[in-house]
Amino acid sequence: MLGCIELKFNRKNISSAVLLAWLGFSAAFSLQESLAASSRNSGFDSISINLPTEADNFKSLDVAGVEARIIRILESQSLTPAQWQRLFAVYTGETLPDSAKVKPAVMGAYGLHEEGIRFRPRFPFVRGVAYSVKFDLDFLASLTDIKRPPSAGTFLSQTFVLPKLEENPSTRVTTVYPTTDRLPENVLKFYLHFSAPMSRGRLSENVHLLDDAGKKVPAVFLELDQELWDPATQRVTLFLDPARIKRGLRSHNDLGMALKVEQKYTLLIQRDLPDAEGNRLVADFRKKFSVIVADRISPNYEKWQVSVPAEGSVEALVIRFDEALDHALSGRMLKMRKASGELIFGNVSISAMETRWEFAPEQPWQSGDYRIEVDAALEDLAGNKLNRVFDVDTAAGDKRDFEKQVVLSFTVGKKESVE
Amino acid sequence: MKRFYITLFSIMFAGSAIAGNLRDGFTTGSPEIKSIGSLAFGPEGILFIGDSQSGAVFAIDTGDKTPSTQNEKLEVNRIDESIASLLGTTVKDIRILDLAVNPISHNAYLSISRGQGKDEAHIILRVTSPDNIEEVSLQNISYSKRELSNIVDVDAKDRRGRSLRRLSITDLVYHKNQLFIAGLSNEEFSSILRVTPFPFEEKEQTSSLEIFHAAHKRYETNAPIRTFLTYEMKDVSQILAAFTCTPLVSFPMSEIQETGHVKGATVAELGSNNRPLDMIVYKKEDKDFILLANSNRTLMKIDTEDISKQEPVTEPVTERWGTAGVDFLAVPQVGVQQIDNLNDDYVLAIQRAGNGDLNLRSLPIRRL
Repeated sequence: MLGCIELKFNRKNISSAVLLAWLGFSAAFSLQESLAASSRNSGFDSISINLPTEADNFKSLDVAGVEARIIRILESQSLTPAQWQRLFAVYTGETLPDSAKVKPAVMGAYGLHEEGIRFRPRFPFVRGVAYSVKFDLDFLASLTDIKRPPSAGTFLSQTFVLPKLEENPSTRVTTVYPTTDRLPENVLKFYLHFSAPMSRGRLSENVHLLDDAGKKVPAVFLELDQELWDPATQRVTLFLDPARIKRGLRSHNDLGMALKVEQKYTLLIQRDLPDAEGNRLVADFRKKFSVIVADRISPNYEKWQVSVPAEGSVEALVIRFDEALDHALSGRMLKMRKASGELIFGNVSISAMETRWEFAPEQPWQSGDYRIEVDAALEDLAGNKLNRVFDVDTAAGDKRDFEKQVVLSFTVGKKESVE
Repeated sequence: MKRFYITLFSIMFAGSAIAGNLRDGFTTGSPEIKSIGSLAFGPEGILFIGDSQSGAVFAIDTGDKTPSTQNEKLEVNRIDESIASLLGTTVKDIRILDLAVNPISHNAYLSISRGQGKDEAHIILRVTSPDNIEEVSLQNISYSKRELSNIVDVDAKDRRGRSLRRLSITDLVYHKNQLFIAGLSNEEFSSILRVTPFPFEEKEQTSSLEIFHAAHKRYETNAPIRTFLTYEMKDVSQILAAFTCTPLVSFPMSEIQETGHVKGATVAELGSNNRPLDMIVYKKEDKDFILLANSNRTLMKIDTEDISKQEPVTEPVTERWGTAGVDFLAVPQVGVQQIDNLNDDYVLAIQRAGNGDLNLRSLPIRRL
């Protein structure tokens, strides 16, 4: 399997040449062996390092060609982890470190098999990372009491890099919510949806807000240690820094709102954001929008329009909200029940820039009374809930109650009504 | 003398009873931990692990119970490079997510994420000396699990059982047989602090509460907790929480038991363009102090007595970039990302040095 490994093979007989190689004179992907070809009787001459293979998913590295008598002696020794590592160590980097204190060896497990010693790193070797291997013939000699022929080097060493896979981008941004292109000054969050699972930890370098001149707007998003992905890593939530949105806080007073009314902005998702396979996206994604005045009013459910479907149909029940609501929350915070409390299953879809909620039942509507339970924590684009605005101004007498839900009632098959 | 023996016997008996109780509900096996984020130590070498991906907290018996009597430094230069090397990869491919010191052995535990996307893995490393960083095995261990089942209620899922909702556990604190869990939702910007008794009981007993804080008496809001701690003030247990939007808020723990909503007093605002990262309580000359690490400020030292005396912040501070509320001392240490109590003489920190190196450092308490 050497064919799949990027390396040059150099056979050197003298250890001084190898020493020079450590000192940085070696090519990045070179391989050296300091084994003397002349010492046929020591049992050391056939020893070689076998590189990780793709067939094995790069999960092991072997020292092969070890005579059975040497294996038997090592078996009887029950080496400690420290002894194993002194005998056979793998390091990251293109050169061996001066000492283990400078750089610890890759952790893993050692095992003996018929023809050699196998090292299984704790995690598979990574494509594109350079590794250096050292097998200490001197230490092998002292462990086994077999004299190392003077012509053999004191150790074997080898450097390798597993080739990177060819890039094959196929993942793209499917939607960014809110979908409207007019966002309030105090918009609280964006949801970015992707067509395939993504990698974590790379958002801040690849997602930016640009002003009308194409310049990055600094300190606009909430910085978090953890990125807010869904379990499938296909949707991520970006909060705008609430310290700048919330009135009365220092950041708000010092820096002002991050977005300015009547200005135009672009949310840019750069294609360098890696998917779960490590590939870039198919293309950059840009969401352009303009900013309107801050929304500091709760959604008014009394103004929602409900279109009640006909009895016996599977038509969708439609609610037209009084303003755009949060996409994720409106997907899960409205529950359809019969008046008796029985949950009705169906498909929810949200459209018309998150102002229209549709519920298509799995079974045809039966005549009778129904209730839609709406969680009072349902929010608009600025984080204002049905029961409380995002930052309550107590002096202005903003509503702040702890009611858990709002109920919309309607009747199928009799007279259409909404309470 | 007889009396002495009886007392001693009672203490020993009580001690063993507690030891037995703490492991109630523990089983031996290999827990299915999907992600490892926040770490916190309880007593007797029990380590709590926040698993955001599973929506659960695990308590594991580390078996690391040999007391350290030495008040020595623990330092590893360029610890990120050492960890990357141990895990066979490069620095950009690892993330150090949390640091917790075992109060018995004074060994440092680090939660690490390695790799990206489908190859991402989570492990715990233990630093026992400058030359020894080892993996904490999660195979065949004694552990118990508390699922935070109310994170995603059943109805929230669609018929195929999928849910996009997730709670990231941002911080864990153990205090007197209770585990406090702060979380951040990927859909709602609110503070939910969960409290669950420990040992975990079979029946769900987790309670959660919303914490509101006021800005200048007028605006009332809530926000996720980024980091928090518990401390004692005149025999009353208090919670001090730093929010994602910088206010430092205090409230007595007793309020948690009574209501689902708590209004905490904003004791300080820590300045614009700054994020609180981590905080601890430490003792110096028999007094308790809070040490707070920030993203864009030096370490801050606060006297807990000043917090109790502090009136809630009401007046806006006119000075730009200023701070408000309780007095604090700026400790001239920058770049500190994580802190924990190491021993009587040192605080352990993960600190980005001026030259860009990320080091595990011991900060002498006498200089704090």
